[in-house]
Amino acid sequence: MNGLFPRMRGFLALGYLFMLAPLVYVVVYSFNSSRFVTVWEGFSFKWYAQLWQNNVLMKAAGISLQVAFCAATIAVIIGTIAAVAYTRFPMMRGRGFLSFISIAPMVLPEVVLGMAFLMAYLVLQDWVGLPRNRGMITIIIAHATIGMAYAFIMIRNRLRNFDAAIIEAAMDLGATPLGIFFKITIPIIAPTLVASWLLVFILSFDDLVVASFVSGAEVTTLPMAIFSSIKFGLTPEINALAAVMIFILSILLIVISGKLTRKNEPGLLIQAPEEE
Amino acid sequence: MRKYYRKNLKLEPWQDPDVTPYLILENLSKDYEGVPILKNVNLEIYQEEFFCLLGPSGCGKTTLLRTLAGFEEPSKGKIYLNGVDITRVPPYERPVSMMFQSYALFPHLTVQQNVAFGLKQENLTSSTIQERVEHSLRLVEMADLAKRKPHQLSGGQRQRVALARSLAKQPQLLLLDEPLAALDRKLREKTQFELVNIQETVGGTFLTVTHDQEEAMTMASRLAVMEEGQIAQLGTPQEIYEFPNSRYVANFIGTINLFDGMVVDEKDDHLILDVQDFELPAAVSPAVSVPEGSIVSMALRPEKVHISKRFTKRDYNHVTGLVEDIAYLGDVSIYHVRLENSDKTMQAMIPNNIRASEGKITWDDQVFLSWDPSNVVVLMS
Amino acid sequence: MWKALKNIKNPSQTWTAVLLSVCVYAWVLPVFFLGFLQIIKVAFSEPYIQVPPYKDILTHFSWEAVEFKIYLANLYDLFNEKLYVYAFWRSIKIAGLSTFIALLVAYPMAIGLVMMPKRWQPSLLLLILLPFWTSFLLRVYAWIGLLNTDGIINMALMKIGLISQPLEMLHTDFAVVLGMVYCYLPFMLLPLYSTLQKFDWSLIEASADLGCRPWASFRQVMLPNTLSGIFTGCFFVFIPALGEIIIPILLGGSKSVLFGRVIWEEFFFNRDWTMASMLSIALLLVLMVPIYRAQKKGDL
Repeated sequence: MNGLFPRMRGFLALGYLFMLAPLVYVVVYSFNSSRFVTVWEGFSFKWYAQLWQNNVLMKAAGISLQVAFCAATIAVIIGTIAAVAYTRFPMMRGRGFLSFISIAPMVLPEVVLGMAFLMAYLVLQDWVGLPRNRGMITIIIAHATIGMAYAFIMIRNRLRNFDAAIIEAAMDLGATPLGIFFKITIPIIAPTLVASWLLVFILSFDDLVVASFVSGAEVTTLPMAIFSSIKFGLTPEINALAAVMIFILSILLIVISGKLTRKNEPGLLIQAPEEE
Repeated sequence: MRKYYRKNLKLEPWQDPDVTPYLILENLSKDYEGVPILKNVNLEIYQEEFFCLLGPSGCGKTTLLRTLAGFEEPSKGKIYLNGVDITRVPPYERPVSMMFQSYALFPHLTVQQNVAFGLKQENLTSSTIQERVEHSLRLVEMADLAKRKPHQLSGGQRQRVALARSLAKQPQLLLLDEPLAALDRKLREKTQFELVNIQETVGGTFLTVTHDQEEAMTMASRLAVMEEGQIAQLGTPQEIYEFPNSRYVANFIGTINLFDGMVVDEKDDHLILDVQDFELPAAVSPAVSVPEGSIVSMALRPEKVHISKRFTKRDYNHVTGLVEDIAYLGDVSIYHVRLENSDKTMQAMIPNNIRASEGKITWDDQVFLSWDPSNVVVLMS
Repeated sequence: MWKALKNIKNPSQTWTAVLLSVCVYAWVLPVFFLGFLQIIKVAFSEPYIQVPPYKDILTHFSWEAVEFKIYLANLYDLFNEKLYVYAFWRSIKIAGLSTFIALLVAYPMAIGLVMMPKRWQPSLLLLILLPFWTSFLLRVYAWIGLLNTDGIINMALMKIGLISQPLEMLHTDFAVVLGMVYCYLPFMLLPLYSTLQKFDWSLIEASADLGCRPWASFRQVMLPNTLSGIFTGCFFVFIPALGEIIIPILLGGSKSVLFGRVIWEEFFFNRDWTMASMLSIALLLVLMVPIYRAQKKGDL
């Protein structure tokens, strides 16, 4: 088959060049001592030092980390519940609706999502007085709801590929349903839980649009801070920030993927076939 | 082991020095990541032959077939088809058609469209295409299901469609990769004959690959037994069954009793072997002369062994033993007899043409086995 | 896999199912669906310069007197205001073009990917995920530096003498489409890869054997048998591209009016929540068709 499609590997290489070149560019120029992003003057760490001292960005990063952590945790818990309800009870009524509302936050445009969350908060505030004001909590709730959709899909796909004989064997040996869930299901799908937690974490950490709607006046997340600084032009500090983020992410990906890919994880968008 | 012989062996082109071979493989070698898959294969196949490559999995037979189809490039050697060197010709320009083991039917096309696929590439007129599609489908008795998609067909039906698709191209050479492997036993036996009949009808040259010796024996005009990328033996099914040239071939085709012995004497046209496992020497009639003192194997088919409860005095080819196992196969029974002076067993096959005959041989009976010297094959390797 | 368990029916299971579903609904319905209902309501309310910037459809004067007023001017504007109609078609065009180019780029890459040795494929997939998981904003930001008039690409082109004047690449549609292709390429690549992985390559050999040259094999056999991956990929690129905000703002400049951006600006700059709601509903209705089809197909 290689003989029949000879040039595809060349395309692949070009594609990788296209995808990775901008990242390489950002990382390289983060070490540029010039203030101008496009002129190479010499090697320097000074933008990293300035980044470290940039209180606005650092504070925003702290907020984003907290938001992402909480959102990912909530998303995985609710996503797991939805996925278990979906796969474990195939006869259940309203299964389609459950799947629909679980997935909707993933496919709708961010603008609409952001506005919907804001409107919901305002109505709830009007009715029950909560949330009292907008800030980290409202961002967390919004991100957790969107993240739940991603977690739901990943966990559902994992549960579909789950060997039911294991459950039956456990039942046969006298385990209770709750016992089965915590002692067998959870350990087996643990890699998927970790993977979906990470995905939601990254999505939350990366979100600008939804957060802009629901953040209120006081709280600024990292993407919001970056956005307002690059709207007015290029700053080498942002290059340094990007380089730091790429570095952390690469290490994270390499460490985790080594463990996950071996277990034949169905990742996002690479879905396991439906088994009904 | 059943054997069916082909009826149309009136012409044996490989016996005729005036006929030039149709397909010639010349020193064909193929390495894959440094591992040799084919080692200097030389083979000549004649027009209208039904040729069979037989061997265990991993012996290189499928690679050889794929090389002929053009999917693999040989590392060395040449392929000539009808006198033309096609070694570097891409698959889509070869007048060769292949039927895949998985059938490789196009799932998005109907049976009819599948069969027409190859013809459409040749820019034939639509009436010609239709005619030839119908003809091929009739040939494999699939005309009724022409509108179905492959997933609506059974395994046997798919096999037929795949065959029709290859035949529609009217290829000079049809390659069949394990054509019957995916079918169940009954269907396989039936289809073996159908394939042969179709080949006789359309008259092309067929080259099939199989690991099933029974299939090979049934269908092939000639067959080549392959071992680790080389051809171990080439011949008609009968030649290979009756006169295997090595322990490998003898063991691979059917069941055989093998005993090692030393040549001690030569009498008339017989060799006398001293076989440790026998109480008497063995007399054999080899095809070639073997020097005294050399160690050879004697190979003896179970159906050539005579088994009896009565002792007859003989000078050669006679052993005593106890019946250890009986495999009742319906048409025949196979007796596993443990030899008296050895830990080896010899198998004897007796047709069950008399039901529950008197003096029936049963477990733990003492029996006497004997055979004719001309039925023994002497193997040097 | 759960088939065997389907037949087990007992009350405790039913209650578990209900309990689990209630947990999910209790979370999603108030924070999410309520918002959509409110969007619909606001879309038909009259704008009002106050906080919140709209008048409620229902006005309570007392327990007896309730005024119910639907404001339809926004609905009229949606179809007659030039800006909205223009932005809508432009968004469709740019999102469609980006999706198509992403497909053209991703398909050969996906073929190349499945043709790589099996043991390399996980690492190569990782290299796709790396930019995918890197901050979206920073990825767009990188292209500003590359496309600028004094950016790397212009510098390089001028150095090798291909051009004498720097090309205006930033703040053009070209930049917007490029940015979208770049950012959403993994969404196209991954479904294509997973479809091609399941593709039976002996079909290609069979078609070659039947006389197809590589291009004909691709068109007649590979393409029709990978349509599901193509649809999934296009769906996951087209949907976000249609509502995209960041890319037109950063790469497209002030002229790049796309639908998502119009909603964004109506909301944040004009503080016209009613119009922003009306536009959101329009966007949702347009997206309903592909979303419904994708869900029926089982992509979601």
